[in-house]
Amino acid sequence: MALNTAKNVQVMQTAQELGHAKKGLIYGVISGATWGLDGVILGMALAMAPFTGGATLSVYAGSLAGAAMHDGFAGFWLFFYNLFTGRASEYFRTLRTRPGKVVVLAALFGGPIAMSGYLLGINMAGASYALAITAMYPAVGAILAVFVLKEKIIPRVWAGIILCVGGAVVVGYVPPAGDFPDFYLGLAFSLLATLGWGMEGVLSTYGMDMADPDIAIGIREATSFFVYLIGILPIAAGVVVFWDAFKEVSVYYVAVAGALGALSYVCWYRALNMTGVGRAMALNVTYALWAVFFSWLLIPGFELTVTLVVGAVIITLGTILVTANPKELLKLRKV
Amino acid sequence: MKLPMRFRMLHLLSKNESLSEITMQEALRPEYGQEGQFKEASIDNHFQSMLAVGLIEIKEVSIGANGKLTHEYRITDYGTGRLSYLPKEWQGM
Repeated sequence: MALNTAKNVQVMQTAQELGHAKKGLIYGVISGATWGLDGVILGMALAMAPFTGGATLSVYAGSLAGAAMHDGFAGFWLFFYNLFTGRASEYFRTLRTRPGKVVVLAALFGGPIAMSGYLLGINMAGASYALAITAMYPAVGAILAVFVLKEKIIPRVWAGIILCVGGAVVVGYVPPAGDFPDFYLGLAFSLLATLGWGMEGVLSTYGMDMADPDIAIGIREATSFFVYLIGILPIAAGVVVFWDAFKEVSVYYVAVAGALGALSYVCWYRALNMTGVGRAMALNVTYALWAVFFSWLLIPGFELTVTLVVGAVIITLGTILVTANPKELLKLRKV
Repeated sequence: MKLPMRFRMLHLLSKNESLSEITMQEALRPEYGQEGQFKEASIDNHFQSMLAVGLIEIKEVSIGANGKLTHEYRITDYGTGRLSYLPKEWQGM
Protein backbone atom coordinates (compact mmCIF):
# COMPACT_ATOMS: atom_id res chain seq x y z
CA MET A 1 0.00 0.00 0.00
CA ALA A 2 1.28 3.50 -0.83
CA LEU A 3 2.41 5.67 2.08
CA ASN A 4 0.21 8.68 2.82
CA THR A 5 3.00 11.18 2.14
CA ALA A 6 2.47 14.47 0.31
CA LYS A 7 4.69 13.29 -2.55
CA ASN A 8 2.85 9.96 -2.99
CA VAL A 9 -0.51 11.69 -2.86
CA GLN A 10 0.56 14.21 -5.49
CA VAL A 11 1.95 11.52 -7.81
CA MET A 12 -1.24 9.44 -7.54
CA GLN A 13 -3.44 12.51 -7.99
CA THR A 14 -1.61 13.61 -11.14
CA ALA A 15 -1.80 10.05 -12.50
CA GLN A 16 -5.55 9.94 -11.86
CA GLU A 17 -6.22 13.30 -13.56
CA LEU A 18 -3.94 12.34 -16.47
CA GLY A 19 -5.80 9.03 -16.82
CA HIS A 20 -9.07 10.95 -17.17
CA ALA A 21 -7.57 13.30 -19.76
CA LYS A 22 -5.97 10.48 -21.79
CA LYS A 23 -9.24 8.56 -21.78
CA GLY A 24 -10.84 11.69 -23.30
CA LEU A 25 -8.22 11.78 -26.08
CA ILE A 26 -8.81 8.08 -26.84
CA TYR A 27 -12.56 8.74 -27.02
CA GLY A 28 -11.80 11.55 -29.49
CA VAL A 29 -9.81 9.24 -31.78
CA ILE A 30 -12.49 6.50 -31.60
CA SER A 31 -15.14 9.11 -32.45
CA GLY A 32 -13.23 10.00 -35.65
CA ALA A 33 -12.63 6.36 -36.66
CA THR A 34 -16.23 5.24 -36.10
CA TRP A 35 -17.61 8.36 -37.84
CA GLY A 36 -15.42 7.53 -40.85
CA LEU A 37 -16.74 3.94 -40.99
CA ASP A 38 -20.29 5.22 -40.37
CA GLY A 39 -19.96 7.55 -43.39
CA VAL A 40 -18.73 4.76 -45.66
CA ILE A 41 -21.62 2.43 -44.69
CA LEU A 42 -24.20 5.23 -44.89
CA GLY A 43 -22.78 6.09 -48.33
CA MET A 44 -23.35 2.47 -49.42
CA ALA A 45 -26.96 2.68 -48.18
CA LEU A 46 -27.61 5.98 -49.96
CA ALA A 47 -26.44 4.40 -53.23
CA MET A 48 -29.29 1.85 -52.93
CA ALA A 49 -33.06 2.01 -53.37
CA PRO A 50 -35.09 3.92 -52.33
CA PHE A 51 -32.57 6.72 -51.61
CA THR A 52 -31.38 6.96 -55.21
CA GLY A 53 -35.04 7.45 -56.17
CA GLY A 54 -36.09 8.26 -59.68
CA ALA A 55 -37.31 11.19 -61.69
CA THR A 56 -39.96 11.95 -59.09
CA LEU A 57 -37.49 12.29 -56.21
CA SER A 58 -36.22 15.78 -55.26
CA VAL A 59 -32.44 16.12 -55.18
CA TYR A 60 -32.32 16.40 -51.41
CA ALA A 61 -35.07 13.97 -50.44
CA GLY A 62 -32.94 10.81 -50.52
CA SER A 63 -30.04 12.28 -48.53
CA LEU A 64 -32.28 13.97 -45.97
CA ALA A 65 -34.37 10.82 -45.50
CA GLY A 66 -31.12 8.87 -45.01
CA ALA A 67 -29.86 11.44 -42.49
CA ALA A 68 -33.18 11.30 -40.60
CA MET A 69 -33.11 7.49 -40.48
CA HIS A 70 -29.48 7.52 -39.38
CA ASP A 71 -30.18 9.85 -36.45
CA GLY A 72 -33.36 7.91 -35.63
CA PHE A 73 -31.49 4.62 -35.41
CA ALA A 74 -28.66 6.24 -33.45
CA GLY A 75 -31.17 7.71 -30.97
CA PHE A 76 -32.91 4.33 -30.69
CA TRP A 77 -29.68 2.42 -29.93
CA LEU A 78 -28.60 5.12 -27.46
CA PHE A 79 -31.92 4.95 -25.64
CA PHE A 80 -31.48 1.20 -25.12
CA TYR A 81 -27.88 1.67 -24.00
CA ASN A 82 -28.98 4.28 -21.45
CA LEU A 83 -31.97 2.14 -20.41
CA PHE A 84 -29.77 -0.87 -19.68
CA THR A 85 -27.24 1.24 -17.78
CA GLY A 86 -30.04 2.51 -15.51
CA ARG A 87 -30.25 6.05 -16.85
CA ALA A 88 -33.57 6.21 -18.73
CA SER A 89 -35.07 8.63 -16.16
CA GLU A 90 -32.15 11.00 -16.71
CA TYR A 91 -33.61 11.94 -20.12
CA PHE A 92 -36.67 13.61 -18.54
CA ARG A 93 -34.73 15.06 -15.62
CA THR A 94 -32.16 16.60 -17.96
CA LEU A 95 -34.78 17.98 -20.35
CA ARG A 96 -36.44 19.86 -17.48
CA THR A 97 -33.25 21.81 -16.70
CA ARG A 98 -31.74 24.73 -18.62
CA PRO A 99 -28.59 22.71 -19.53
CA GLY A 100 -30.89 20.05 -21.03
CA LYS A 101 -32.61 22.69 -23.15
CA VAL A 102 -29.19 23.96 -24.27
CA VAL A 103 -28.42 20.41 -25.48
CA VAL A 104 -31.68 20.45 -27.49
CA LEU A 105 -30.57 23.74 -29.05
CA ALA A 106 -27.18 22.16 -29.83
CA ALA A 107 -29.04 19.29 -31.52
CA LEU A 108 -30.92 21.72 -33.77
CA PHE A 109 -27.66 23.41 -34.80
CA GLY A 110 -25.75 20.15 -35.36
CA GLY A 111 -28.54 18.02 -36.82
CA PRO A 112 -31.12 19.59 -39.11
CA ILE A 113 -29.47 23.03 -39.59
CA ALA A 114 -25.87 21.89 -40.23
CA MET A 115 -26.69 18.68 -42.08
CA SER A 116 -29.30 20.34 -44.31
CA GLY A 117 -26.88 23.21 -44.98
CA TYR A 118 -24.17 20.73 -45.91
CA LEU A 119 -26.43 18.82 -48.32
CA LEU A 120 -27.71 22.04 -49.92
CA GLY A 121 -24.10 23.29 -50.12
CA ILE A 122 -23.03 20.14 -52.00
CA ASN A 123 -25.95 20.52 -54.36
CA MET A 124 -25.52 24.23 -55.10
CA ALA A 125 -21.73 24.73 -54.92
CA GLY A 126 -20.35 21.23 -55.52
CA ALA A 127 -18.90 18.69 -53.07
CA SER A 128 -15.33 20.05 -53.14
CA TYR A 129 -16.25 23.55 -51.93
CA ALA A 130 -18.89 22.29 -49.49
CA LEU A 131 -16.46 19.83 -47.94
CA ALA A 132 -13.59 22.32 -47.80
CA ILE A 133 -15.75 24.89 -46.01
CA THR A 134 -17.48 22.49 -43.63
CA ALA A 135 -14.18 20.83 -42.66
CA MET A 136 -13.35 24.10 -40.89
CA TYR A 137 -15.86 23.36 -38.11
CA PRO A 138 -13.17 22.41 -35.56
CA ALA A 139 -11.52 25.82 -36.01
CA VAL A 140 -14.89 27.60 -35.66
CA GLY A 141 -15.73 25.47 -32.62
CA ALA A 142 -12.35 26.18 -31.01
CA ILE A 143 -12.73 29.96 -31.53
CA LEU A 144 -16.26 29.89 -30.06
CA ALA A 145 -15.02 27.75 -27.14
CA VAL A 146 -12.35 30.31 -26.26
CA PHE A 147 -14.98 33.05 -25.96
CA VAL A 148 -18.01 31.13 -24.64
CA LEU A 149 -16.34 28.51 -22.42
CA LYS A 150 -13.05 30.37 -21.73
CA GLU A 151 -11.27 27.26 -22.95
CA LYS A 152 -7.46 27.28 -22.81
CA ILE A 153 -5.91 26.49 -26.21
CA ILE A 154 -2.14 26.95 -26.58
CA PRO A 155 -0.42 27.80 -29.93
CA ARG A 156 0.76 24.20 -30.53
CA VAL A 157 -2.81 22.90 -30.24
CA TRP A 158 -4.06 25.69 -32.55
CA ALA A 159 -1.45 24.52 -35.08
CA GLY A 160 -2.71 20.95 -34.68
CA ILE A 161 -6.34 22.00 -35.19
CA ILE A 162 -5.38 23.93 -38.35
CA LEU A 163 -3.42 20.93 -39.70
CA CYS A 164 -6.36 18.56 -39.02
CA VAL A 165 -8.70 20.95 -40.82
CA GLY A 166 -6.22 21.41 -43.71
CA GLY A 167 -5.71 17.63 -43.99
CA ALA A 168 -9.46 17.03 -44.09
CA VAL A 169 -9.77 19.58 -46.92
CA VAL A 170 -6.93 17.93 -48.90
CA VAL A 171 -8.41 14.43 -48.42
CA GLY A 172 -11.86 15.51 -49.59
CA TYR A 173 -10.75 17.77 -52.42
CA VAL A 174 -12.08 16.89 -55.83
CA PRO A 175 -11.59 19.35 -58.70
CA PRO A 176 -14.90 21.19 -59.18
CA ALA A 177 -16.86 20.13 -62.22
CA GLY A 178 -20.26 21.06 -63.57
CA ASP A 179 -22.38 24.15 -63.63
CA PHE A 180 -23.59 25.69 -60.39
CA PRO A 181 -25.99 28.61 -60.98
CA ASP A 182 -26.56 29.05 -57.23
CA PHE A 183 -22.87 28.78 -56.39
CA TYR A 184 -22.72 31.62 -53.83
CA LEU A 185 -25.89 30.47 -52.13
CA GLY A 186 -24.26 27.04 -51.89
CA LEU A 187 -21.20 28.60 -50.23
CA ALA A 188 -23.52 30.36 -47.76
CA PHE A 189 -25.26 27.07 -46.91
CA SER A 190 -21.86 25.38 -46.42
CA LEU A 191 -20.86 28.21 -44.08
CA LEU A 192 -24.14 27.75 -42.21
CA ALA A 193 -23.27 24.05 -41.74
CA THR A 194 -19.80 24.97 -40.44
CA LEU A 195 -21.28 27.39 -37.91
CA GLY A 196 -23.95 24.82 -37.00
CA TRP A 197 -21.43 22.10 -36.15
CA GLY A 198 -19.18 24.56 -34.33
CA MET A 199 -22.12 25.83 -32.27
CA GLU A 200 -23.25 22.27 -31.54
CA GLY A 201 -19.92 21.42 -29.93
CA VAL A 202 -19.81 24.53 -27.77
CA LEU A 203 -23.46 24.44 -26.68
CA SER A 204 -23.50 20.73 -25.91
CA THR A 205 -20.26 21.04 -23.92
CA TYR A 206 -21.82 23.89 -21.97
CA GLY A 207 -24.87 21.72 -21.22
CA MET A 208 -22.75 18.68 -20.32
CA ASP A 209 -21.08 20.55 -17.48
CA MET A 210 -24.18 19.54 -15.52
CA ALA A 211 -25.55 16.66 -17.59
CA ASP A 212 -24.30 13.16 -18.33
CA PRO A 213 -22.68 13.12 -21.82
CA ASP A 214 -24.38 9.81 -22.71
CA ILE A 215 -27.78 11.34 -21.93
CA ALA A 216 -26.90 14.56 -23.76
CA ILE A 217 -26.10 12.64 -26.93
CA GLY A 218 -29.29 10.56 -26.56
CA ILE A 219 -31.28 13.81 -26.41
CA ARG A 220 -29.32 15.22 -29.34
CA GLU A 221 -30.04 12.29 -31.66
CA ALA A 222 -33.72 12.04 -30.67
CA THR A 223 -34.25 15.80 -31.15
CA SER A 224 -32.53 15.72 -34.50
CA PHE A 225 -34.63 12.75 -35.67
CA PHE A 226 -38.00 14.26 -34.69
CA VAL A 227 -37.16 17.65 -36.25
CA TYR A 228 -36.17 15.91 -39.50
CA LEU A 229 -39.32 13.79 -39.47
CA ILE A 230 -41.79 16.54 -38.60
CA GLY A 231 -40.14 19.71 -39.89
CA ILE A 232 -37.71 18.89 -42.71
CA LEU A 233 -38.79 15.75 -44.59
CA PRO A 234 -42.32 17.01 -45.42
CA ILE A 235 -40.79 20.17 -46.98
CA ALA A 236 -38.18 18.18 -48.95
CA ALA A 237 -40.75 15.57 -50.06
CA GLY A 238 -38.73 12.92 -48.26
CA VAL A 239 -41.44 11.26 -46.16
CA VAL A 240 -42.23 8.62 -48.78
CA VAL A 241 -38.55 7.72 -49.21
CA PHE A 242 -38.21 7.47 -45.44
CA TRP A 243 -41.02 4.90 -45.08
CA ASP A 244 -40.11 3.07 -48.31
CA ALA A 245 -36.62 2.42 -46.95
CA PHE A 246 -38.07 0.09 -44.31
CA LYS A 247 -39.14 -2.27 -47.12
CA GLU A 248 -35.67 -2.37 -48.68
CA VAL A 249 -32.41 -4.03 -47.75
CA SER A 250 -30.82 -0.57 -47.36
CA VAL A 251 -32.55 -0.24 -43.96
CA TYR A 252 -30.10 -2.77 -42.49
CA TYR A 253 -27.16 -0.70 -43.71
CA VAL A 254 -28.63 2.45 -42.15
CA ALA A 255 -29.31 0.55 -38.90
CA VAL A 256 -25.62 -0.50 -38.74
CA ALA A 257 -24.52 3.04 -39.67
CA GLY A 258 -26.81 4.35 -36.92
CA ALA A 259 -25.18 2.03 -34.38
CA LEU A 260 -21.74 3.26 -35.46
CA GLY A 261 -23.02 6.84 -35.35
CA ALA A 262 -24.29 6.27 -31.81
CA LEU A 263 -20.89 4.92 -30.73
CA SER A 264 -19.10 7.76 -32.50
CA TYR A 265 -21.31 10.41 -30.91
CA VAL A 266 -21.02 8.89 -27.42
CA CYS A 267 -17.24 9.03 -27.80
CA TRP A 268 -17.35 12.56 -29.26
CA TYR A 269 -19.56 13.97 -26.51
CA ARG A 270 -17.43 12.28 -23.85
CA ALA A 271 -14.31 13.71 -25.51
CA LEU A 272 -15.88 17.21 -25.65
CA ASN A 273 -16.62 16.93 -21.94
CA MET A 274 -13.24 15.44 -20.96
CA THR A 275 -10.73 17.17 -23.27
CA GLY A 276 -12.51 20.37 -24.33
CA VAL A 277 -14.08 21.49 -27.61
CA GLY A 278 -10.87 22.38 -29.51
CA ARG A 279 -9.15 19.03 -29.10
CA ALA A 280 -12.26 16.85 -29.36
CA MET A 281 -13.28 18.48 -32.64
CA ALA A 282 -9.77 18.20 -34.11
CA LEU A 283 -9.77 14.47 -33.30
CA ASN A 284 -13.31 14.10 -34.65
CA VAL A 285 -12.42 15.64 -38.02
CA THR A 286 -9.88 12.83 -38.53
CA TYR A 287 -12.93 10.93 -39.81
CA ALA A 288 -11.87 12.18 -43.26
CA LEU A 289 -8.73 10.07 -42.95
CA TRP A 290 -10.56 7.06 -41.48
CA ALA A 291 -13.20 7.21 -44.22
CA VAL A 292 -10.44 6.80 -46.81
CA PHE A 293 -9.00 3.84 -44.91
CA PHE A 294 -12.38 2.09 -44.56
CA SER A 295 -13.31 2.86 -48.18
CA TRP A 296 -10.05 1.22 -49.30
CA LEU A 297 -10.85 -1.75 -47.04
CA LEU A 298 -14.53 -2.20 -47.92
CA ILE A 299 -15.11 -0.82 -51.43
CA PRO A 300 -13.65 -2.95 -54.25
CA GLY A 301 -11.63 -0.90 -56.75
CA PHE A 302 -11.21 2.11 -54.43
CA GLU A 303 -8.06 3.95 -55.50
CA LEU A 304 -5.57 5.57 -53.13
CA THR A 305 -4.46 8.85 -54.75
CA VAL A 306 -1.57 11.21 -53.92
CA THR A 307 -3.95 13.80 -52.39
CA LEU A 308 -5.42 11.15 -50.09
CA VAL A 309 -1.96 10.12 -48.84
CA VAL A 310 -0.80 13.76 -48.43
CA GLY A 311 -4.02 14.62 -46.57
CA ALA A 312 -3.59 11.57 -44.33
CA VAL A 313 -0.04 12.62 -43.39
CA ILE A 314 -1.19 16.20 -42.61
CA ILE A 315 -4.06 14.93 -40.41
CA THR A 316 -1.72 12.57 -38.56
CA LEU A 317 0.74 15.42 -37.85
CA GLY A 318 -2.13 17.60 -36.64
CA THR A 319 -3.42 14.85 -34.36
CA ILE A 320 0.04 14.43 -32.82
CA LEU A 321 0.23 18.17 -32.11
CA VAL A 322 -3.25 18.18 -30.55
CA THR A 323 -2.66 15.18 -28.30
CA ALA A 324 1.06 15.69 -27.56
CA ASN A 325 0.86 16.72 -23.92
CA PRO A 326 -2.18 15.45 -21.99
CA LYS A 327 -0.93 17.33 -18.89
CA GLU A 328 -2.39 20.47 -20.46
CA LEU A 329 -5.82 18.88 -20.05
CA LEU A 330 -5.81 18.92 -16.28
CA LYS A 331 -7.42 22.35 -16.27
CA LEU A 332 -9.45 22.93 -19.42
CA ARG A 333 -10.72 26.46 -18.79
CA LYS A 334 -9.55 29.83 -17.53
CA VAL A 335 -12.07 29.97 -14.66
CA MET B 1 -38.80 15.86 -9.62
CA LYS B 2 -35.22 14.68 -9.16
CA LEU B 3 -32.32 16.52 -10.75
CA PRO B 4 -29.94 14.79 -13.19
CA MET B 5 -27.40 13.06 -10.91
CA ARG B 6 -24.43 15.19 -11.98
CA PHE B 7 -26.39 18.41 -11.37
CA ARG B 8 -27.56 17.07 -7.98
CA MET B 9 -23.92 16.41 -7.04
CA LEU B 10 -23.07 20.04 -7.78
CA HIS B 11 -26.12 21.14 -5.80
CA LEU B 12 -25.14 18.97 -2.81
CA LEU B 13 -21.63 20.45 -2.90
CA SER B 14 -23.18 23.92 -2.64
CA LYS B 15 -24.98 22.83 0.55
CA ASN B 16 -21.91 21.33 2.21
CA GLU B 17 -18.48 22.76 2.88
CA SER B 18 -16.99 19.73 1.10
CA LEU B 19 -17.89 16.15 0.20
CA SER B 20 -15.75 13.11 -0.55
CA GLU B 21 -16.50 10.19 -2.88
CA ILE B 22 -17.85 8.28 0.12
CA THR B 23 -19.93 11.05 1.72
CA MET B 24 -21.32 12.00 -1.70
CA GLN B 25 -22.37 8.40 -2.31
CA GLU B 26 -24.17 8.36 1.06
CA ALA B 27 -25.85 11.71 0.33
CA LEU B 28 -27.08 10.47 -3.06
CA ARG B 29 -28.18 7.01 -1.86
CA PRO B 30 -31.71 7.93 -0.62
CA GLU B 31 -32.58 9.51 -3.99
CA TYR B 32 -30.60 7.52 -6.55
CA GLY B 33 -29.62 4.33 -4.67
CA GLN B 34 -32.13 2.17 -6.55
CA GLU B 35 -30.95 3.26 -9.99
CA GLY B 36 -28.47 1.40 -12.20
CA GLN B 37 -26.38 4.56 -12.61
CA PHE B 38 -25.68 4.68 -8.86
CA LYS B 39 -22.15 3.28 -9.04
CA GLU B 40 -18.84 4.36 -7.56
CA ALA B 41 -17.32 4.62 -11.04
CA SER B 42 -20.12 6.92 -12.33
CA ILE B 43 -19.83 9.21 -9.31
CA ASP B 44 -16.03 9.34 -9.69
CA ASN B 45 -16.41 10.14 -13.37
CA HIS B 46 -18.84 13.02 -12.66
CA PHE B 47 -16.38 14.40 -10.08
CA GLN B 48 -13.47 14.18 -12.57
CA SER B 49 -15.41 15.93 -15.33
CA MET B 50 -16.65 18.72 -13.04
CA LEU B 51 -13.10 19.14 -11.74
CA ALA B 52 -11.61 19.42 -15.26
CA VAL B 53 -14.03 22.19 -16.29
CA GLY B 54 -13.57 24.11 -13.03
CA LEU B 55 -17.02 23.67 -11.44
CA ILE B 56 -15.42 22.08 -8.36
CA GLU B 57 -11.97 21.95 -6.81
CA ILE B 58 -10.09 19.64 -4.48
CA LYS B 59 -9.98 20.81 -0.90
CA GLU B 60 -8.00 17.86 0.44
CA VAL B 61 -6.64 14.61 -0.91
CA SER B 62 -5.25 11.61 0.94
CA ILE B 63 -4.66 7.90 0.49
CA GLY B 64 -7.47 5.88 2.05
CA ALA B 65 -7.28 2.55 3.91
CA ASN B 66 -7.91 0.72 0.61
CA GLY B 67 -4.83 2.33 -0.96
CA LYS B 68 -6.95 4.52 -3.24
CA LEU B 69 -7.05 8.30 -3.29
CA THR B 70 -9.82 9.92 -1.28
CA HIS B 71 -10.74 13.50 -2.15
CA GLU B 72 -12.67 16.21 -0.39
CA TYR B 73 -14.26 18.30 -3.14
CA ARG B 74 -15.79 21.75 -2.83
CA ILE B 75 -17.73 23.92 -5.26
CA THR B 76 -15.98 26.89 -6.93
CA ASP B 77 -17.47 30.34 -7.59
CA TYR B 78 -17.84 29.30 -11.23
CA GLY B 79 -19.80 26.22 -10.12
CA THR B 80 -21.95 28.29 -7.76
CA GLY B 81 -22.82 30.56 -10.70
CA ARG B 82 -24.17 27.56 -12.62
CA LEU B 83 -26.71 26.86 -9.85
CA SER B 84 -28.81 29.65 -11.36
CA TYR B 85 -29.78 26.99 -13.93
CA LEU B 86 -31.59 24.96 -11.28
CA PRO B 87 -35.30 24.39 -11.99
CA LYS B 88 -37.55 26.78 -10.03
CA GLU B 89 -38.59 24.22 -7.41
CA TRP B 90 -34.92 23.62 -6.56
CA GLN B 91 -33.97 27.30 -6.25
CA GLY B 92 -33.25 28.12 -2.62
CA MET B 93 -33.46 24.45 -1.55
